[in-house]
Amino acid sequence: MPVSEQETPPGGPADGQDWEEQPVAVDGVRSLFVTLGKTFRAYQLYDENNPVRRRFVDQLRTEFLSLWEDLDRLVVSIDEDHMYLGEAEVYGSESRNDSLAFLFFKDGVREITFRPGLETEELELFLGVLQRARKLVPEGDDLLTVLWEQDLRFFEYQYVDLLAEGVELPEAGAGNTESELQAVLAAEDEEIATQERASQQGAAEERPTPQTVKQDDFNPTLYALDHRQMETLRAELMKELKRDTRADVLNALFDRLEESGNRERQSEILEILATLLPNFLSRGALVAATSVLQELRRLEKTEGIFDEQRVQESRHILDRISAPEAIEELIQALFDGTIRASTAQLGGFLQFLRGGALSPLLRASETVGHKELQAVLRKAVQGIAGQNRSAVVQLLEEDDPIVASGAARLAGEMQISEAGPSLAHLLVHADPGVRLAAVEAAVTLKASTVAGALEKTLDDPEREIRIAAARALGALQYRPAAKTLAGIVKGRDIRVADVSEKVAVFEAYGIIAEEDGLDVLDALLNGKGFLGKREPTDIRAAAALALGRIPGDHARAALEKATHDEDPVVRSNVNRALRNEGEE
Amino acid sequence: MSGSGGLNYQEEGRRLLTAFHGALSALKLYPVENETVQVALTELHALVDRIVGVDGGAEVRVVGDFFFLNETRLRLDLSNFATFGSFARALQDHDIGAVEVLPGI
Repeated sequence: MPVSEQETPPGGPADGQDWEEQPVAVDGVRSLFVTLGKTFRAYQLYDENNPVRRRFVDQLRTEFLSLWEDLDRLVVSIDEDHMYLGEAEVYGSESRNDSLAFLFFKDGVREITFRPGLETEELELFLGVLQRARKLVPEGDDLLTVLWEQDLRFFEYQYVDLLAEGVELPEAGAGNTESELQAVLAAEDEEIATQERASQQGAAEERPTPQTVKQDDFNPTLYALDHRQMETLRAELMKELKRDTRADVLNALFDRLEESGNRERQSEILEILATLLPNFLSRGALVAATSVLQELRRLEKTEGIFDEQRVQESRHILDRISAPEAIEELIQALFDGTIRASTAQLGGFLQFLRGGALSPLLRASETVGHKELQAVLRKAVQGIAGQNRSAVVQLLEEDDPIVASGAARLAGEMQISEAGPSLAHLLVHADPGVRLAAVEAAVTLKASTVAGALEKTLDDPEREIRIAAARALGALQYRPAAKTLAGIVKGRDIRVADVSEKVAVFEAYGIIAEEDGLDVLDALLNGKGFLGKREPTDIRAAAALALGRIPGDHARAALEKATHDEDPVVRSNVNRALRNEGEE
Repeated sequence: MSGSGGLNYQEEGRRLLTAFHGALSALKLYPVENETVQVALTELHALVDRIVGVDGGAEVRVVGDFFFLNETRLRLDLSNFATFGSFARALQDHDIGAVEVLPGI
């Protein structure tokens, strides 16, 4: 930015100006300075995103562009209250408070030059310079300093050194005495201070009640936010509204709960948490409820947080949530959709439950139709049962057949050996489902106490249970049962049983009796009775399969005697037994 | 907590919500003329009648996690949260914040 100290007094064209005054240009320059004045005012009143201010800046930019069609630069000279393009006045202001001419003039600027490019690259900077100049205090920087700092490339100025010796100072005009200038400065300072107060505290509070209304009073853009700011505000508001304050409140409660110095407060918070749990669950907030249980368990395990009484109070909460009526409510809530949780969330909650929850959970896991939910419930049941093995044994005593049979299966799966006597007791339970579950559990558990009881189940009124018992004894290879099985094999009742039962009993006998059963089975397969009559086909076929279960050459020899039997069913089963020899 | 007319709001509230829940469940399964529905509605009517008779109205309001009967907060416990939750969800599904019964209904 070339600047120079002016050698000639203002009031006429500067030296070296080679343009000729054009009427069109004068009108355009006048219009430009009117717009510049308005823009400058808007610049002081509104922030940068205000549409009014933007509109004026755009208009000023347009007028500069229009002017460059007639001029390659714009040089204006300045006196106290006016600006001149050559001899033609292009700007004048009666009030020095608003006067652009006086703004330049008072700091010694006597000529300014605008060059093409200002409107595109430096217009905002230029207006910023004017705004800063307007707010300068007498004892601070002056306009020349601000211009020098800004170093504008498309705006030049010439000035006079007001204090230089021998320089003719401009004559003071009317209203230019020291006191008057001080009054102007004071008024300007007051105006600036008022604007700042208004922007900081709200104009309505600071200003005295106006007697009349102005157009600006109804201007919604005065303090309007732009679209981006509105979006940001809206997003922040929504974030705040959607924020899970429950988590924050809980965290605050837990923070206080960790302070072991105030036992009464700990008790009070534990009571609050106990109250909150059903509230959370009623709204389906399973995650929040889980976080409470999780935190309680953590605090219980952390040394020095709770004393014995607080530990009991905390455990009482977990006991209450594990109580059958609470679990029944939970199951109901899951069924009717009050609680909608993923399997992981549900599993996370259930893992905190205690032995008391086993019975209702077990019942639900046995009856629920939803496969996924059933899997989660079963997993939860196993998790709780793993930590409460004695609770499983207790469940075997339950009157509810669904719970008892579920507990029997659970005891088998979990290899709870101490459940043996209870399982044996269940083998004579009134409910066939329970008896069957007990038989199946006996196989899994491999407990001798149950195997002994299984013998008695061989004459159970239910066919399915008799079959299961025979298979169970075979699987357990419970040799003491050989005598009982031999009695059944040789008895009459088995002859009226269906094929499946015959096969189950005969095979069990073969497995258990081994060589001791050869004679009986050989006789049943190959023997002839009175008048050469053989045993019925089903008995012979079952005997063949039983012989197939006995290892060794004697059993094989007995089978081979019947390989060419006339009865195709017997022949087929003999061959099958020979192929399966030694296999389970 | 007892009201001025001797109402035990906690107890009455629990019973009222349970009756509401029962009636809603019955209505889901059977038509309104069904005996089960009629019994549930009669029970609900009797409960509401008693509250209206004492307080001059019965308003059940759900605010966040909390339930109010005539501005008394009902304390949930672990044996009834599913019933309460189901009632709250029924209201929420229909954008209803409160149910108010006035004398004469």
